[in-house]
Amino acid sequence: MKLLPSLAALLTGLMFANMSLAEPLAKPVGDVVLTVSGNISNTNDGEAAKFDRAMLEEIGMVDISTNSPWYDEVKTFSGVPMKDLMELVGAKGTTINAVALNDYETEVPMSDAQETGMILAMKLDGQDMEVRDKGPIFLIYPYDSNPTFQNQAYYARSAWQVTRLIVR
Amino acid sequence: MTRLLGILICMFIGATVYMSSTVAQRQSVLREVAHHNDTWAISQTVSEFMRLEAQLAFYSLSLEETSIDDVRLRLDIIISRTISFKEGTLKDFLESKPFRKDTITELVSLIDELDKNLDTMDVAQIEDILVRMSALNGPLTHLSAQSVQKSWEDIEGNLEALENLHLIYSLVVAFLILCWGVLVILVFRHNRLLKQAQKEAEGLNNSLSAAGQELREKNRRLEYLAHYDSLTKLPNRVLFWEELEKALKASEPGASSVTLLLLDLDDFKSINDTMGHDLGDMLLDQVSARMLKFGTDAQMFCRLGGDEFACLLVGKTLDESLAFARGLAGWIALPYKIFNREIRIGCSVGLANADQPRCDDAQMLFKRADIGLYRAKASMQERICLFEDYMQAEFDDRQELEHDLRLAVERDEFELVYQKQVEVMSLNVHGVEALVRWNHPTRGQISPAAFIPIAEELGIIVELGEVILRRACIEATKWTKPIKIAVNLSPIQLQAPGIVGTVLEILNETGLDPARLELEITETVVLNDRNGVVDILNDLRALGVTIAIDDFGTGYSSLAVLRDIPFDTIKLDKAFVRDIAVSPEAEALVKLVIDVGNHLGRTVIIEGIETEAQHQCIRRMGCQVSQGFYFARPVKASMLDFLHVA
Repeated sequence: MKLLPSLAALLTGLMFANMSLAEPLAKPVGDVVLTVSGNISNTNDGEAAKFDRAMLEEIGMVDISTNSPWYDEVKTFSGVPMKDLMELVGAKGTTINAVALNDYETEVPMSDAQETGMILAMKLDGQDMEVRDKGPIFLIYPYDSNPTFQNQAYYARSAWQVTRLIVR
Repeated sequence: MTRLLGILICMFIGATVYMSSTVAQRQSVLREVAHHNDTWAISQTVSEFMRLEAQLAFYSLSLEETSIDDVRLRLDIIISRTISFKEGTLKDFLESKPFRKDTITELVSLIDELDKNLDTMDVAQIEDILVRMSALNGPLTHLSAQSVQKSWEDIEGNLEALENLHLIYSLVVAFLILCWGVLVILVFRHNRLLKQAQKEAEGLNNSLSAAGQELREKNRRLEYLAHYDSLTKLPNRVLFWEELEKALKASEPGASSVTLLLLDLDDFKSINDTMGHDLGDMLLDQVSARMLKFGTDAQMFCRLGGDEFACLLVGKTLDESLAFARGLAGWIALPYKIFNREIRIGCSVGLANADQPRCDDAQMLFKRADIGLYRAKASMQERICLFEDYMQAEFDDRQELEHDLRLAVERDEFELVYQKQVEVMSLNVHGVEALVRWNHPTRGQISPAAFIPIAEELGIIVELGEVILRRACIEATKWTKPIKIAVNLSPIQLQAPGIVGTVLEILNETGLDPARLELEITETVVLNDRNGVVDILNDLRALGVTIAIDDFGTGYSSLAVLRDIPFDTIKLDKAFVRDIAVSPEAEALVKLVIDVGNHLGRTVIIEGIETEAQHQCIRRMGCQVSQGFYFARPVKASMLDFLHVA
């Protein structure tokens, strides 16, 4: 019984080690749209990891079509799964603080990144989201997939105009 | 009850459905309250608008290295905010009042203008727009305040709705509780009714089984009563007949011979009469008990009634059956002790065997045993009599005779003959004895000794005696000499009620002088009820009639009879006279009787004088009156010439 958790820890450790070792983060070429800081191991600018749009899109885009409190109809959001991003930067922590352009800050539990399938949406119905369209990054949960997500707690975590993530 | 339960359950379901819908309503109301974040959006707009204003001011003053991009970012942020003004509840709120609409329109047009001209604007233009923007600060803050106010109103409304819902919810819950209570009461009531019904059913069942038990008991009792004698506990006639018929049906000649015994206690009637019925019953009970003890190999004992019993023997030879009967009779004859008194009683037994002679019919076998019993009772010596064929013939003969005798009274087949009684010395007629003869159509003349006992048994003796007496009296009245006429009275006749009246009536009818009538009785009449007989005799003598004791010396003669009985004449039986001429002992006995009579002053009539020697003998003894063939044979009335000639 004691062996299992330690084995799991070892495996995940190896996985992260592999990633970070095999692919060190490149420097952003275009405008930086996201800066990840805090308790992370894979960085490209001092203590932080900075991403331009292309770098993020390279991680792998995922689509979520869902109703939401901000639009009257179903919208398709495309973006990077939070889980993948956290693995890429070698995040170790319990919460992710998402900070928006207007300094709105919201706390997302690390477990949400692992379990809910939330994404950092960058496109709305195939179009890049500008600041005036709640871009560059909108935290989106798959609300329609589970009634527990149709809840004020999750709506409150869904910050828009996000530019920074701090892992704690 | 079931209907009420159904209605209740329907109400229960309805209330539950209504309650769950109420709960759903409540949740949606709650969600709306939480959902209401339009206020937040408006207040954020105010702050973002002011940050844009500040950024634009910094830019125009070239402070803190503010670039046009920074202004653009703030502008984008506020634009993104204004886009959301066109969606959902926020749009509704903002368009509901002209002030709000005007404020928002002004805001949007200002932002649009800025968006279009930002890159080309000079400082003066910026200052101008800043002035316009600052003019909008007040209305926007006012809008935010209105939104907060509206929010509170909504919350109040929602709270009110919630309160209403709560009230309804409470009512429904109360109603459910009430339903539940009624249901519980119903269930209890139902349970109680069930228990009661069960108890009632149990009671009913119990009383039913009790009644059944009682019925069975009664049936058994009835059956017992129908088949058993209540006194002796022996099977009764009914059961005995069934057994007898069964045994006869099952019997095969020789192999399992059936013998029927009929027992009758001797003189039980007199024991019953003199010692009381209680004692009689106890005696019967003890006799039965002895039978059962003795006859372990008997098929069955039974009490037929009164002092008559029966016994069924199966599989015994004739000799064995006879031995059984003798043993049983001896066993029954042993003394009994009842109320500290020793009682002896004998019994007569009639036997009939189904094989010798052959007989398959129960009725017939019973009749045969009865004939055997009859003969046993009639016989002085043998108390046990086995039926044999010839007895049937005798029995039939007697039956026929009985039958004829009954008819004879009606047909007047009786004839009176008369025998003279003479005075020994003078040979003058003393009187005449009337004797009855039965002229049977086929059998000829039958003597009284043969048919009088039968007439007594049949109970026609009284009637017959009356006929004889009347005829004798009529005859006597025709005579020229007033001599005595002697007529025999049977003991039964004498003791029949109204004999004195009958005699008086006949005397009156015929006009015969009572002094001429002499009634002859036998000394056996005094054996039972001596006092009663004495009274009757006294009454008869009071009429003037005289009484003669007939056949004296043959029965239970004793001096006491002569002392106690009121009589006028002794008629000595002819048996004493037969050897009178040759035997001094006989002569002495006759002399004794004559002397007793003379001393008592009574007439003595010597019967049976047939020879001159006998006549001389009694003459010497001083006998006054005599009767016999020597003097005259009995003759018909028409032959009594000496009494008729004028």
